[in-house]
Amino acid sequence: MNPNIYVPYIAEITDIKQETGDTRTYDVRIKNRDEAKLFVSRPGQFVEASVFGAGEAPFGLTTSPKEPGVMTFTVRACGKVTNALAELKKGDEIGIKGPLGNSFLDKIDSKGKDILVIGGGIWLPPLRSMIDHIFNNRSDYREFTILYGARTPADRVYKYQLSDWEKKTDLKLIQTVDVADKDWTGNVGVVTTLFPKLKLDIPNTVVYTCGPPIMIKFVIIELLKLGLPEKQIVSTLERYMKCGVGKCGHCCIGNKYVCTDGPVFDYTEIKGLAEEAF
Amino acid sequence: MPEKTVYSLAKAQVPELIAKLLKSRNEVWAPVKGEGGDTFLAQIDSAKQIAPEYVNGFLGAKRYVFPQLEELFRFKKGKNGTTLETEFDQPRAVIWGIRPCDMSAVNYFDSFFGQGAKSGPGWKSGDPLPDPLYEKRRERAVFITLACNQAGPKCFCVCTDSGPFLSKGFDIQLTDLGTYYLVEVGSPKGGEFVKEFKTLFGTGNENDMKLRRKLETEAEKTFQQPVSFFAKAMRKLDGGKVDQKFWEKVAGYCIGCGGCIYVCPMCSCFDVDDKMESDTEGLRYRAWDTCDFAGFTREVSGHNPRASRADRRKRWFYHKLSMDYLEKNPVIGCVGCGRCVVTCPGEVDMATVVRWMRKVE
Repeated sequence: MNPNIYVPYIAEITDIKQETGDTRTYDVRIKNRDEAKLFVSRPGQFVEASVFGAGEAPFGLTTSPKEPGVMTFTVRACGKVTNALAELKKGDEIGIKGPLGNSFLDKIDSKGKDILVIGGGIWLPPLRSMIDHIFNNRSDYREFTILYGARTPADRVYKYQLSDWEKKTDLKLIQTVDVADKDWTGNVGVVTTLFPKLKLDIPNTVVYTCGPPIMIKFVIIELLKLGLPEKQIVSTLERYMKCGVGKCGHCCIGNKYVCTDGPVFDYTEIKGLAEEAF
Repeated sequence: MPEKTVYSLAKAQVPELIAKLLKSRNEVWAPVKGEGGDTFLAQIDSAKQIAPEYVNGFLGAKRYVFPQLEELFRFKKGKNGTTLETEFDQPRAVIWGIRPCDMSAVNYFDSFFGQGAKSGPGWKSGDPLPDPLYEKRRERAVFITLACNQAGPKCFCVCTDSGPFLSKGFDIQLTDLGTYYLVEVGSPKGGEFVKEFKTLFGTGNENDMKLRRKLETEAEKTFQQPVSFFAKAMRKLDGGKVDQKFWEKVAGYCIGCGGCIYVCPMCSCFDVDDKMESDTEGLRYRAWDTCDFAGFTREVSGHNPRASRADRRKRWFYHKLSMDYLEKNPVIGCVGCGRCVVTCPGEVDMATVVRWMRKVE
């Protein structure tokens, strides 16, 4: 990232995909070549994206990029910065600060293990960077399962990707929705209702989860009941991050700064904090 | 221990020194009396403005090193894209006459905002990221503290190891010895300062140092409401003895004004936002913000992890007092300046809450 922690790089939106009614995926490239070289992200990291005049907001990176200075993130338009982003089109300029935070790869070494990814709603995008990484290094991992829950079938992001993943033989994708529509043939219920369908090799499974705080709370309760060791439960934490560089204080939970100590934590790091993490 | 180099400065020489500083520096800051009799740290243009007697001003040195409102950068949208103006000339400044508690708070800010690994390639999560604005501002200022021969009515720095005299952490420390100040040099920057104005400084001697030590001992006896039980309160807090009911009691007296946090010289949280100044030009700034306000953690979904005032009060005191934070910060989050004691309309300031905490069973 830029040595001046508050200054973003100028970047260009190279593509926009409409995911749902209010959610879009942005492909972005840092314009200056020398600056682009400084931007090398790892799965789980995030950026602060600026719309100059509206401010900046944090977004998890959704791919494991093959070249520096290039990134993808998914945004639901629901606040000042995200609504300003929704007004932009391909070719428009934004600011990018990052890559920020730590990576799923900084936690337990999951090579040679079974991988279980559990995502909820708009929180699938940050996990997708790890999913991408696993596919890029598929022989390093054993059984690979993704559980994805959303409010309704229409609220799911990356529908095109989900249908691709369903066809894969080296991945088991199970989806669920809280409320089905007439075309839905899958599971109905919260994501933990999928757990009985799993046959987990408990000592050799690493779980990566990201979702709304209430989902993470119950996912962890259920995983602990199954006997999963705490170090093998890897979760992101959610907080309102303003500066993204461990200074402004908004994202603190107990003594942790979600932006610089996280956003990825294993369960041993987040249990017993001075405040409820989720 | 080698004897410290000490000098003297006659009070009669101060106006001349200040006049020289006003010529050679961009800014000179000192405690001044405002309307209504409050003291606060402000930029001066004459030695006459310096308050002759004061405990410690409202806001203190935080007002200088971490301004309430500060530009982070400017942007300009043009035909060829957006350009950013990111370099700001920080003033060469002298901060005159702040109290040891405020200097201790600046030293804490140095570790929070200033020191640490640089960002850029190779930066690892968890590495501190130095704040370039703070670093430059701090680097270009000389801090001259004035030791306290007499504690203020609400002071308790003696409990937080941040006064009434400092043994280190200052550029220059003055001790009032009547018609002159004893001048202790605490940093190379302080040494250069004395050298620059050497015609105004006299030599110091061992007798002056003896007198200074005596004054320090006497000053320690002038505290009126010492709360020398931080350690015990912290043990109670970290031992899980302080329950939710305790915080609900504290919250019951708190009106949520955020005053304690705004006056606290150790509180560093801020908000970040943009402001347009025309259709094409604007700036990004930061402004003090507090964990006391419900909006501080409220997310765009409406979910608020700290929705209750009790949780927010708990947050503030935990941040200041819990041993958990000593992993990150080398000192507890209080310098005993007593400003929250003076400010809190509900009387649930640091001193009071520590006193209550000590008594929980």
